[in-house]
Amino acid sequence: MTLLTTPAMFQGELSPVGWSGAAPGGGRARGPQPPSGPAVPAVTRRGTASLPPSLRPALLPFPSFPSPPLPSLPPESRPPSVPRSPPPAAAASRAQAKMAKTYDYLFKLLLIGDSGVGKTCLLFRFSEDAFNTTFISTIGIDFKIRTIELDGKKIKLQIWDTAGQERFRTITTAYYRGAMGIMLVYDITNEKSFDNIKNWIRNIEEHASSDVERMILGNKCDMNEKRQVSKEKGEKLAIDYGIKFLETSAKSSINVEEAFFTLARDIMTKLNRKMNDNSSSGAGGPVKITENRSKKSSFFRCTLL
Amino acid sequence: MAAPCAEMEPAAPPASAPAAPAAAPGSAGLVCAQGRNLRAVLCQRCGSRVLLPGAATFARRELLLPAMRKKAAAAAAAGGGGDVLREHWLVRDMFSFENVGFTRDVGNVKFLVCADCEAGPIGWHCLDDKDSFYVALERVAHE
Repeated sequence: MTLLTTPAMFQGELSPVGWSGAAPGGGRARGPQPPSGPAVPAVTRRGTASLPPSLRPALLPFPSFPSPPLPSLPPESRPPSVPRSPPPAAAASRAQAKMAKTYDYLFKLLLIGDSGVGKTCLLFRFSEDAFNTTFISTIGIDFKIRTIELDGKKIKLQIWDTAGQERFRTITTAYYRGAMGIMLVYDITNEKSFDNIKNWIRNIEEHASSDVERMILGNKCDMNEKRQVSKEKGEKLAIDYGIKFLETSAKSSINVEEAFFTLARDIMTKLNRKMNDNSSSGAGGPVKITENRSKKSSFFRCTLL
Repeated sequence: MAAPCAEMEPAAPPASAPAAPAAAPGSAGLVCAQGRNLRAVLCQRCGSRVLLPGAATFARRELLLPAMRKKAAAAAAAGGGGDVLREHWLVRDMFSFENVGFTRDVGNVKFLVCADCEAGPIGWHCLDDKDSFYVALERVAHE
């Protein structure tokens, strides 16, 4: 797994507190770490479920443990500087070496949008029926791992939810780092959340990787009677930015899976294209015979309304 | 609640692994000869697929997991009850999970929950050991 180090430049801002799994000691502000983790049974990992090598294409350098979203801190409580110890890179490469991958792709996705648009619900399969213990809802979820299959490829999605920090507009580079796909979510019953999509796009352009795949979701499309934003308006916005668009309902499970599949497919397509480009140009081999890629700027999948 | 993992685990070293499947009370019939999970690991509540067969090894370790109670019940038992669980599926790569959710940090620990219905905690991960993710046998179903 590729380790993503957190450069010192983040020390000055609201620092990515929390987990960087590949980086022991790189997380929360805390004292020096013991050199080794807790004792665990020594078990070698030989994947019985691992795929044949042919199904394990080399992944592009991917930050498997991207910086986590920032916790939602009210502005006044932001620490001026959160001390972080640099994560030891050696440990990560060791981990990388010993693991046989059981998947073909790994994508980091983010959910972005105003509070209350239902981002978190997009991550429940049974939204009305979430278990929600006091304990878990108090702590909050950092991210989820989901496995999907696309064209016979096994894809792991690591999906991060801003989990409230959007209220304070503190989403910064740290959160976006390593993101390969972003869901921009608004609530069709809340015009303001729709208007803010433009601001979120600006935020992304400012902080995220320039080639991140984006998608706009008009959520809560089951609440048609309270609709404030027409579907056409959503489509228009998406066209303007050249982004795909779907209306979704987490509650009624409309288009939610489609949205994640579409985004994942777009990322995969882009990756494959890049790999092909690299290999053909790098090898200096045969002439590239790719048709002129028409930038499929925006195509629409319509909702079931 | 924010106990560092040092407090959450007794100092007793884990039994040598892989533990003998036959001797494991809750794991009878679930562990293959190589110490791996024979069956897929599912959410007890919604059946969401957490681990495929063979994705984890059986491990013994005493870990304290907060109780899996819904709000009302949990409020009654405020004070944060939990269970010390001893039998786990140990996963070495977090991307070996099919579907799982990670809570934010509680001290040094992240708890694992069902990705689909957020039932949990079903498992435990200490930030000091980035290659170990435990899923308690008692907190999941087996296909």
